[in-house]
Formats: sequence, C-alpha cells, structure tokens
Amino acid sequence: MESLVVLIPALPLAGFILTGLFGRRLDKEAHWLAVGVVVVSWLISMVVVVAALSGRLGDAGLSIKLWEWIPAGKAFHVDVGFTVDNLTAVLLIVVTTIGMLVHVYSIGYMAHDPGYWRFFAYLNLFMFSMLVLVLASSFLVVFVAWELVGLSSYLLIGFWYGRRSAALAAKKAFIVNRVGDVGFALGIMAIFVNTGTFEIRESIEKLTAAGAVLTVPLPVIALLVFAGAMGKSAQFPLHVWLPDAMEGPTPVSALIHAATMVNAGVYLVARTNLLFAHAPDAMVVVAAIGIFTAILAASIALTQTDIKRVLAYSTLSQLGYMFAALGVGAWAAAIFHLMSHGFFKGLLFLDSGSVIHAVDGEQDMRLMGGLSRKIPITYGTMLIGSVAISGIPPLAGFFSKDEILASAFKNGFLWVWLVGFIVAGLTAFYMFRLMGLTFWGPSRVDRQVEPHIHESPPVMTGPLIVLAIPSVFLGLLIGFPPESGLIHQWLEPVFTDGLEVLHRPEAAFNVFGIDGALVLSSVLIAAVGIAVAWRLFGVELPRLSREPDPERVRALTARAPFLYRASLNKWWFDDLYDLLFIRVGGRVAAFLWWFDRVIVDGTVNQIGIETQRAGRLLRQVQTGRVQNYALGIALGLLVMAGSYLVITAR
Amino acid sequence: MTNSLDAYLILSGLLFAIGTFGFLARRNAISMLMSIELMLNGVNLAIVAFGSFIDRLRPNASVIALLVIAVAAAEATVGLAIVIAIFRNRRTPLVDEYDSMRQ
Amino acid sequence: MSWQDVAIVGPLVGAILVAIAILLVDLVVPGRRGPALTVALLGLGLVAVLTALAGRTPGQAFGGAYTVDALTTFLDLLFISIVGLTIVFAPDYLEPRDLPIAEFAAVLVFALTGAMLIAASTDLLVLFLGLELMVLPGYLLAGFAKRDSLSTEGAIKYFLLGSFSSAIFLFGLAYVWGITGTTRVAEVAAELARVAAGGAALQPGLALGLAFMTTGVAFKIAAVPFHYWTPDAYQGSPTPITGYLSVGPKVGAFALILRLFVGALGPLRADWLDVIIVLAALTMTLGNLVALTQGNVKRMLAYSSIAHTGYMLVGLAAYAGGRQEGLQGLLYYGAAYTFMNLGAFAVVAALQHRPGVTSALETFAGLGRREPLLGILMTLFLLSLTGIPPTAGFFAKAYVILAAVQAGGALSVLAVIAVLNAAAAAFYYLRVVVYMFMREPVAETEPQRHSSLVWAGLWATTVLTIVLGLVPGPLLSVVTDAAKALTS
Repeated sequence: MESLVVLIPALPLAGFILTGLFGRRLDKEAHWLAVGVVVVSWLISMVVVVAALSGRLGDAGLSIKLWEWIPAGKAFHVDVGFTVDNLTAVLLIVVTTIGMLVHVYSIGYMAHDPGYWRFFAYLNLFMFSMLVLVLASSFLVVFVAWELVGLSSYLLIGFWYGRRSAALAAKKAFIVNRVGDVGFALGIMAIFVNTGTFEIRESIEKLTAAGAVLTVPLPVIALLVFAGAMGKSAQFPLHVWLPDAMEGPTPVSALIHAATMVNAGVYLVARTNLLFAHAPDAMVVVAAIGIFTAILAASIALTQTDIKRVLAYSTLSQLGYMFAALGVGAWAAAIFHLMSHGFFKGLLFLDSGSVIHAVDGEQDMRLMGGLSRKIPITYGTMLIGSVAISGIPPLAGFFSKDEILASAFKNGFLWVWLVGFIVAGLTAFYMFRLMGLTFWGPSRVDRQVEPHIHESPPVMTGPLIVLAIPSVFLGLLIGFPPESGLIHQWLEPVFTDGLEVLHRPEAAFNVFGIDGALVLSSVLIAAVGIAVAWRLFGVELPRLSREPDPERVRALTARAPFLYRASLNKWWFDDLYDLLFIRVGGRVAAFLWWFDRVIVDGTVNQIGIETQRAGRLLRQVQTGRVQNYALGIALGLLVMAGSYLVITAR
Repeated sequence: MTNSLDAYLILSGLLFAIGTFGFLARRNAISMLMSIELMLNGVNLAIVAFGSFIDRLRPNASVIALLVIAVAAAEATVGLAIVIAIFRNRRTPLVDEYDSMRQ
Repeated sequence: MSWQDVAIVGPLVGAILVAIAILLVDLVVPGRRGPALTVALLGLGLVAVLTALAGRTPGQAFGGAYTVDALTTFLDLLFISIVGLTIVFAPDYLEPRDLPIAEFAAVLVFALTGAMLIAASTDLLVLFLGLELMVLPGYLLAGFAKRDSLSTEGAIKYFLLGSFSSAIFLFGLAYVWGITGTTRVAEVAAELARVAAGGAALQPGLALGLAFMTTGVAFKIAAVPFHYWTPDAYQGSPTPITGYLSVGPKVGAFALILRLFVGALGPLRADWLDVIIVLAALTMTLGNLVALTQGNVKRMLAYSSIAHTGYMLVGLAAYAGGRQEGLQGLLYYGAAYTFMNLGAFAVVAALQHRPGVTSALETFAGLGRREPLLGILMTLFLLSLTGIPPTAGFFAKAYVILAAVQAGGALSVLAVIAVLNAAAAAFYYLRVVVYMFMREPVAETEPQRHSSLVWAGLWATTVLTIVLGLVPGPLLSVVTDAAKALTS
C-alpha cells in the first residue's frame, strides 16, 4: 500500500520529466505518455481511496515517511512524508478523476496547438504538485507543493504567451498568490516556533493542547493560515487573479481554476480544522469573507458577457460558499460541496470549451445563441451542470449547497444563511442566463462561422458525459440522507475532535421541521432564479416548440404557479426586472464591478506602481559619481560611529 | 598633553580626517589615491604611537606599521595601473566624468 | 616554523604554486587556452584534496595566527569551487573578446589565496592581509577588459572606494589592537569578554574601532548604505567576472565577519547586534526595491546580490541574538547562494558569447524557444534566487529566517521583513522568466554553441542547486560542525 501511495504523485512527475525531455520529438503523440501516467495514477488512487474509506487504514490514516529533509539531531527535524486519511482520500477522488478526464479532453482541445507537448508536460507537473499538496503530512511540504501548484498554474495561464493579456494574467496570478503565501509562510513559522515541529497533526495538537503557552495568539495563527488559503482559493480581496486567469486554455480553467487548485485553500482550512475550532473569532472572519465573496462574485456574474468569465465568477462565488461553511463549522458540508462543485464546475468549464471550440474561438455570449440543436451533447451536459449548480434536487449541487445553508442557519449564523440564500437565487439566474444566451433563442453567430458549427470529437464529448454522471448522482449517492450521508461517515474521524470543541447542538434531520422549510426555501429561490432567467433569455425554447410560440410558453409556465403569475403580470414583471436588475441591481452590480476593478484591483496594481516608484527614487542615489558614493560612505560612517557610541554608553 | 598618547592619537585622527576630506573633495584620480595614502599614514601614526607609549604593544607595532606600508604600496601599484587604463580610454583623470553607468 | 606548520599551510602554499604554475605555462606556450586551463583546474583539484586532508587534522600554525578547523575547511572548499567554476565559465566569454585567459586564471587563483588566508586566520593582522590579498586581484579583474571604457570605469570606482573602505577598516583595527593589546583573535575575545563582564560602558575608542570596522566590512559585503560601488563595478566587468565578484569577495568578506565579529568581537555581540539588524533590514529592502526598477539583467542581479547580503546578515543577527542556527544558516546560505548565483551569471555570460550582445532584458526575449535548455536552467536558478521550494535558495532562506524567528524579539520583526522581501523578489526575477518564455525574440538570432566546459559547469551548479534544496542533511552537518568550531 505504501509504495502505491508514493506512485500516485510519482507517476505524473515521471510523465512531466519524460514529456519535458522527449516531448518535442514525440510532437503529436506526446499525449500517450502524459495521459497514460495519469490514468494509471487514477487507478492506483482508486485502490487507495477504497482502502481508506472502507476504514482499512484506520482512523488516523496511513503515514509514510519518505526521507528526512532535515535529519534528526539538527536544530530542527523535518521529515518528508505522506498521510492518507479520509479527507485526503476524498480529495484524491476529485483531483485524479477530474485530472484524468481533463487530460483526455485536452487531446482534442489542444490538437491544433503548436505547443501540444509542452501543454501536457505542464499538466503533468500540475498533477504532481497538486497530489503532493493533498498527500503531504507536514506544513513545510504542503508549502513546497503550494508554491509548485502556483508555478504550474502560472505556466499554464500564460500558456498562450503570444497574447500579452495572457502573460499579464499569469504574472498577476503569481503575484497575488504570493501575497497570500507570505501570510501562510508567516503562519507556518509561527506554528513552528510554538511547537517545534512542522508535522500538521502533531503541531496542531500541541498548539491547541490545554495550557499551551503561545508567543503568537491562536486566532492570529489561524488567520495567517487562512491568508494563504485566501490567495490560492481567490477569496476577497485576493480574488482578482482568478477571472484574469481565464486567459489560459479552457482545460486549464476546468482543472486548475475550478476543480482542483482553487480548492487547495478549502482543503487547508479543513485540514487544520482543530486550529480554527479553538479560534472562534477567526472562524467568524472566515465565514464573513467567504459569504461576502459569494455575493460579490455572484452579483458580478449577472452582467458578464464572456462565457468563461461568468463561470469564473461563479467559481469564486461557490468557493465563497465553501469558506462560509468552513467558517460556521460545517466542515464536512464544505468538503462535500468541494467535491460536487469540482465535478459540475469541471463539467461546465469543459462544456464552455466545447462551445468555444464549436464557434471558432468566440467567447462572447452575445455572439452565440441557438446552439442547442447544433451541439446537442454539449448542450445536454451543460444543462445538467447548470441544473446541478442551481441547486435543483436531486442533482449534486442541491445536496451540498443545501447542507451549507442549513448548517449556517442551525449553527446560529443567520446572516450567513440569508446572504447565501440570496446568492442561491442569483446563481440559478446567471447560470440560466448563460444557458439562454448561449443555446436558446435565435442565433447571433457570425455568418462566416455559422456553417462550420460542429459538435466536438468523441475524445472531448466523452469526458463531458462521464462528468455529467457524478453531477447528477453524486448527491444522492453520498449526500443522502442529508447530514448523515456517506460523506459524513467518511469524514467523521477527521472532524470529530474539532466538532467536539465547537459544541454544536446535535439535532436529527427533520423533514417536517426546520430542515424541510430550509430545503423548500432554497429550492424555491433557485426556481425563481431559473424562471426569471428563462423568462428573459429563453422565451423561444426551440426544444419545446419548433417555432416561437408565446402561447405555448405561457401554458407551460402555468404549471408552476409562481412562474404563471410572473408571466401573467408581464408589466409587473418587466417593471420588477427593470427595477431589480436594471435600475437597482444593475447599479449595484455595476458598483461592485467598479469597486472590484478600480478599488481592489487598482490597489493591487497601485502597490506595484508605488514600489516601483520608491525603487526609482532610491535609484537616484546611484549617480555614477565616485565622490557622491564616497560621501555616502563617509556619512554612513558618521552615523555608524554615533550609533555605536550611543549603544555602548548604555 | 603635548607628549602623551592622546596627543598622537588626535594627530593621527586629524591626518586621517584630512585624507578623508581630500578623498571627498578632489576630483583627480591620482589625488584621491594620494588622499588614501594619507589616511593610511594616519593609521600608521596611531599604530606607532600605541607602540611607543604602551610597552606590551611595542614589539608588534613596528611590524604592523611595516606591513601597512607594504599593503599601501601594493594598493598604489594596482591603483595606478587602473588609472592608466582608464586614462587611455577616457583621456581624463577626473573621476566625476566617469559617470556613464548611472541608471 | 615546523614541519607541522607546513602541513597546515599546505593548501595555501599549493594555491600560490598553482597561480605561479599558470603564469609559467603561459610563458612556455603563450596564448593557448588548453594548457593554462588544464593546469588551473588540475591544480585547484589538487588544492581541494590538500584542503580536505589538512582538514582531517585540525591544528594551528605560526603561534596561533593560522588555524585549520572545520570552518576553514568548509570555507576553503567553497572558495575553491567558486574560483573553479569561474575559470570554467569564463573562457567562452573572454576568448571572443581577445582577453588573456591564463592571466585571468592566475589573478583569480591569487584572489583565492587571499580568501583562504581569511578563512584560516585567527590573527587580526593576518585577517587584514588576507582581505587585501583577496580584493586587490578583484580590482584588476573588474577592469580586466582594459580597452573597454565601462570595465575600467567600474574598476576605478571599485578600486577607489575599496581602498577608502580598507583604510577605514584598518583605522578601526588599529584602535581595537591598541586598546586590547593583542592581535590574536582568541586573546582579543578574552580581553573583550573581561571588559563586557565588568558591565562598565565601553571606552569610546573601542566603540569607534567597532564602528570603523563595521563600516569597512559592510562595504566589502555591499550592505546598504555602503553598497554604491556594486552596481557600477558589476555592470562594467566582463560577465563571468561579475559572477565571481558577486560571490567570491562577498563570501570572503563574510568569512572575515565570522572570524572577526563572531570570533574576536563575539563578547560584544550585544553591542553590534542592533547595528547588524538595521543593516540587514536596510540591505534587504533597498536591494530589492532598486532591483525592481532595473532593465538590465546584470545590473538587476547586482542589486539582488545586495538583497542576498541582507538575508545572510539575518543569519548573523540571529546568532548574535543567541541562536547558533543563525551561523549554520549563514554558512548554508553562502553555499546555496554561490551555486545559484554563479549559475545565473553563467547563463548571462553564455548569452553574451558573441561580443556586442548586451545583458539587457531584451536579450532574453524568446530564449525559451531559441535555447530551451538554457532557458530552463536559468529559470531554475532564478526560482532558487527567489526562494521557491524545493530549491537550495528556499532551504537557505527558510533556515536563516527560522533561526531569526526562534531568537525572538526584534529579530522576529526582522524575520517578517525578510519574508516580505522574499515575496517581493519574485517580481523582478520572474520578469526575466516572462521575457524568456513569453516574449518573441526582438531580433531573430540562431542558437549559439557553448563549449562542453560551460555545460559541465552549468550542470554542476544545477545539480547542486537542486540537491542542496532536496537533501540538505549532509551539508547541514558540515556547516553545523563549522559553526561549532568557530564558537566553541
């Protein structure tokens, strides 16, 4: 078993090295090696996952020591090792499965790209780093992997470096992440200073042990770790890099910027849950930042016209949900949502790639429309993804999102629940706006491109269909019955200590009590969101009627009372729409958009500009004249002599 | 005061300061080299003064002073070679005209 | 002088003989690179073996003025590899520019003898002698392209300011000698320990001596605000020599700091700790800030080498703050910095193979496509300089910073400053990577041929940069012993 675990990251590493060395010669055959290693890695992962989740590795999981990075007997002792427990196992499922499918999909998507082999080499590098990240047992190794995923993400965002915007986006992603990393590094240092170890489990036990004397307060340590998570998981105000990162090829957006890397922050906080449980104030901050990011991003997604940007903001918003869950102490729900979101958002991104592929690289939804019949598989799977993310039962997103909202409500975080509830409605709206603009209504595709619209090759549609399956069934499979499904049983050993500290009231799930009401309300708000979007962007449903037929639509909508009323009172609804989405909503969205671009983004850019300016100012000192330099040295000498006289006199 | 260690040390400090001033004020590379020699002489004076006023320093003092003189000579050799090289390139010994690398 | 003394100074004598042998060979077969290089590299190998042998029997010679211990051995081997790598990288650059290779190698080996003398000296006077012996050849090397006006300009600035600072250093040395009454490091330390134990305020003369010596040493390691000479001297010098100057004299000056500040002035460390903290913070921050604005890679690396001085000073400060790990970190950093920085400069030099090619950022545009291997190696060196794991640079930085954190107090503030600086460094190092991999070449130039010597050197630095990051254990044992030898 131990050597199997080591093979999981080792195979992609070998793939990276070999593809990197010989890829140029392999050229269009370069994918065999890269995809092959990931498939094998997936198979091994599944064996390990089954062993872990069936409890054969024990509650504490399997620990493997690879080598001593800093040998014992020195000032510090650091081992490089892996730990496989149930949390790792769940992450392994997400990372290897989606990773493998994205690798396969890329064979088709990148087929005509001159940098074919380079792309696969980078993807392998990313897989290696991400797998080390989830497997590592010590903070130091997590940090190493943390930097490596950042690096591979940097390489992949800037993959089309010919585009200036791509190169800039890559740099921005790296630098914003670097800000979070500083916090993380400081957090790790603080942990090490107080415990003398980098081992995650051991150090957190020591930190939270009763009577531990800490030089740095526990909430500060927790927030420093959270700062790292904010960078990688793009939480406000470090979220600015993620929308720009869409400059990378779409498979990259699916794998790294939706399904895996951006989850690293969620994983990190979940991994250190005991630390946060002992710092309730820090948890409130986590919840607040999470839920604020959720609504900020969702409101921005309402007005975006680039298909990938809508999905990017949606990812931000869903990550916000996960952090809100982490903040209210619903750790299992957060990981559950991480998993289901990984699948359906990966699916949505790959679908968007397929759409972009079909319309010859166009990403503006205003230049799409009416694609549903031309690319039916893409349409069908994307519809599944959209329904899943909107939170309609019994698809995956419903179960996971609902658990987050219910936990927030029941744990007393009413404000989190309320904002999350609104976000649920917005989510449903913008997703179906996306569907409507892209697939329904009349075609607005460029006349030149129109005749060439085609469904993607099987190598691309295959992964779509495979990903659609968990998007539908995952919730039923592991999330039912709510709050005691399989996922909770799996994660119970990981979170049990933390939950004990939190003292959350244990209440059975009650369908006819508060839980039923919460479920009903979130389904309702999702339905409202969908209905509004449908009304505005999808009136001419080609599937339902060959020709535009308002009567038919009205009859159809009559089946749902709320939709019926909305439809009947057209004037009222138009006014409402006008009021909500154009006058008020539009302004709020525009304001948030402005706030995001000008204030947050601007601040980030301004910091860069200011440091450059300071640098230039300092550079003035460098006049090139010996006399000036000598004068500087002489003055320095005087200051030095003065300070020594002061120091030694005390 | 006139014939004490302090007096010699003050003198050596003055010599050193004059050398420093010369280094800062002169623009000619050769003059700057001479100023450095003056600074080293200031140091040497301090060394010799320590040696002649404090008995246990006496055996070392002259050795150290000789060594400093030797080092100064070596420095001057290297320095003159470099000054000649740049004079050939620039046709001027004035160091404030050597500023083609400010950025 | 006994036979035992001869065995102890054997490596030093060997190095002098190697330098002379190079000159003799050049006299017999003038103008050919082969024989001189062979003699130089073989000779250095021999000196390395001698050093390792001498290191097995620690001892003192010349009445305690010259000491061979674990620190001496470690530093000597480091110096030998610096000089060896420079000799390996330089010919490809010097030859097309008609610069004499044998002379270059001989001058470099003379500088090596100075550095070795510093590493072994336990006498203030010998320390000064070693310092001068190390920096004088440095001045000559900076102006090695004597028909190039930039090279000579850099050299004269380096020389004038260097001599100025040497005089300042010597002034301080004279006072410390005059007040403590001895030049032996151990005796100075004992005397100062007595003074410090008395609890009385230090004599002003001693305080001045400290100030003058700190200034002189700060100049040699290019700490802010005594760094002004670095960018000019580095930019003007022929690129492989810039590589040497940014590493050799710097590590040598740190050796001087170890012998002088830790060895002789150790008892006064409460007094110089604050000064070192301020110097370290200034040096890191200013070095990084100015490096941000540079458009020339050589100049950028010059400023960033200032920043690296700052990180090494953090290690020294951590030691003064009571953590032995600070010294270990400083030594480890010195080794890691040596290999990654020499590697980076070697790539710059390789790009400038043809005369007339500048080291501007534009030269690097499209390198990733033109010469992918060179681009990848450069990326590795830059990542290591940035401190991205799992490279040597990351480990060294982490170790130094952790030592400072453990020391606590003002040093934890210094550690935070160091972390922030390490983050900021990504900006300018990455810019080069962006140019290499994400820009089209300005002018289409075909790949150049690099000699197998250069490749061998590049691979050596690459392997060391990776290995020192992944398996730091062995070198860590060595530097632990070296630090112990110094402080026990």
